[in-house]
Amino acid sequence: MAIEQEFKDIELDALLTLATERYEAGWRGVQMLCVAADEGIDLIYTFEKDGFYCNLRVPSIPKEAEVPSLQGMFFGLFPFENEAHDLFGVNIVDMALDFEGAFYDVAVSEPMTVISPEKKAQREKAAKLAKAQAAKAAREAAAAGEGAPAGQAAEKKEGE
Amino acid sequence: MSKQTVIPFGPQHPVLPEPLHLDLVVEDETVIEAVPQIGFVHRGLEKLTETKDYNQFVYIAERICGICAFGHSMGYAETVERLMGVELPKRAEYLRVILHELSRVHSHILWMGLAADAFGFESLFMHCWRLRERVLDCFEMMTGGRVIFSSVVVGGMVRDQSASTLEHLLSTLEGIKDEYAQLCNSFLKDKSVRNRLVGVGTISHEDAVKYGMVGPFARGSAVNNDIRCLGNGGYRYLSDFQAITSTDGDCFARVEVRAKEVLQSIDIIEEMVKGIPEGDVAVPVKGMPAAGAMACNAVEQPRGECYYFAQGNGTKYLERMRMRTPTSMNLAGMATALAGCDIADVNMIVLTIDPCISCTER
Repeated sequence: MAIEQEFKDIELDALLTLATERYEAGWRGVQMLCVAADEGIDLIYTFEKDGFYCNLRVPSIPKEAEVPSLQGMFFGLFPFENEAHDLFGVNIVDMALDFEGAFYDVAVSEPMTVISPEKKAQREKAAKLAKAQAAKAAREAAAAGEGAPAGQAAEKKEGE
Repeated sequence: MSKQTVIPFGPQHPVLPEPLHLDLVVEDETVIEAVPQIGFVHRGLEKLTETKDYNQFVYIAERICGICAFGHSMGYAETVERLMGVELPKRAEYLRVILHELSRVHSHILWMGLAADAFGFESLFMHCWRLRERVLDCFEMMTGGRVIFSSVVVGGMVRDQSASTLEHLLSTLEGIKDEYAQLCNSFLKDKSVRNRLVGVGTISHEDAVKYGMVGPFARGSAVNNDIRCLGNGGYRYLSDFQAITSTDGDCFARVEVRAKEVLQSIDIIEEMVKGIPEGDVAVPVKGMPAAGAMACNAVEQPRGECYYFAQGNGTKYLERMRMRTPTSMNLAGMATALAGCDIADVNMIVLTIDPCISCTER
């Protein structure tokens, strides 16, 4: 048995409103994480109440976008927002506790956004696989579509 | 008006088990404000999902921290199993709970030793760690390792445990109980210990909720957020589980919660061993996580709730693996508890959150 959970995509503009609603309703701020997507960075905020984990994803944030800090309501998220800035280069504004890039001492700037050759190969393989699956689905759909008119023509001929 | 001074605490300090820096703004002997700084042991382990496939990464996960090793391997495996829709055999779930609770016993006894060392009770520290050695012997008997076990795989456990091994485990824990009760007397009833802990570093229930604190640190302030209450994984087979809480919110309350949790964990292990079903301990896991699939999981580790997130990309490598560890969530509460305390109490307050900085930074 796993914990109850949901994943929902939201817009960046709606983040502060939704976080405020949850804060006022007594939800607990669990964490914030980033995923280096093909285009931009995905942000995932997790809130929990009564054993239910609600994950709100803000997909494909461009580098220059300003992300509002939630530290005013969920101060416990300060390590994750500073980590998002240092490791992913996310521009989070109005942080109550801002380490200004000195939270982690890293040799490479924004290291989690560096696409390694292995990562690139994985993405290319995944893209090829997705393309092949889409082509197969299209062929099967076309075959099903060609089969139906032929059947209908046969029935019409019999009726005549 | 008194002059304010900033005293640096850490990252190297005799009382700190791991590097953590605090800027303590003090006025005379009182701490006005404490600003934490971490980042000294960041290893970038999460980026290793690019080069280690989802089966191999379990060995990275358990090396995030030596004390939480089993918890991380179990939490990671459960997350990937959720991602791929894998259902575990019942026996594997029982074994995971047994080893995880044994980890909790080990972690809490280790921590109690460090706490005793912090308030200068050296002999108590040595007794605690001597008792801990017997728990490590149990780990070695069951898994071959004392600290890193490599006993969890995605889909179950690496090896089964024989009935005689489990019986030996129970008899060892029964033997530990008596000696442990004597240690608890020293922690909970000794006047000199209480002088150092009672009324020190108090955090109110409201602050504990406000800062999202987790684990025994929060349960000492009457915040019941024990993930085991949700019946996650093998914990759903427990007949009854009540989280241990205290209401005082001070250092003594946190010691009390951890001390009682050791005995509760021993009871859980006894229940699981007596009820463990026969069967396989692993299922073969074929295939790869689907592209774009996401899953999250939470495990109640000795220090509190640990949140895991995994995202697939259609290959055998995960697109992203994230572990949000309990200490990172408790940093805000720790800074709050330090404000207003005497400088001599700083080390006790820092220790009572049971900081695991290796976990926090990964």
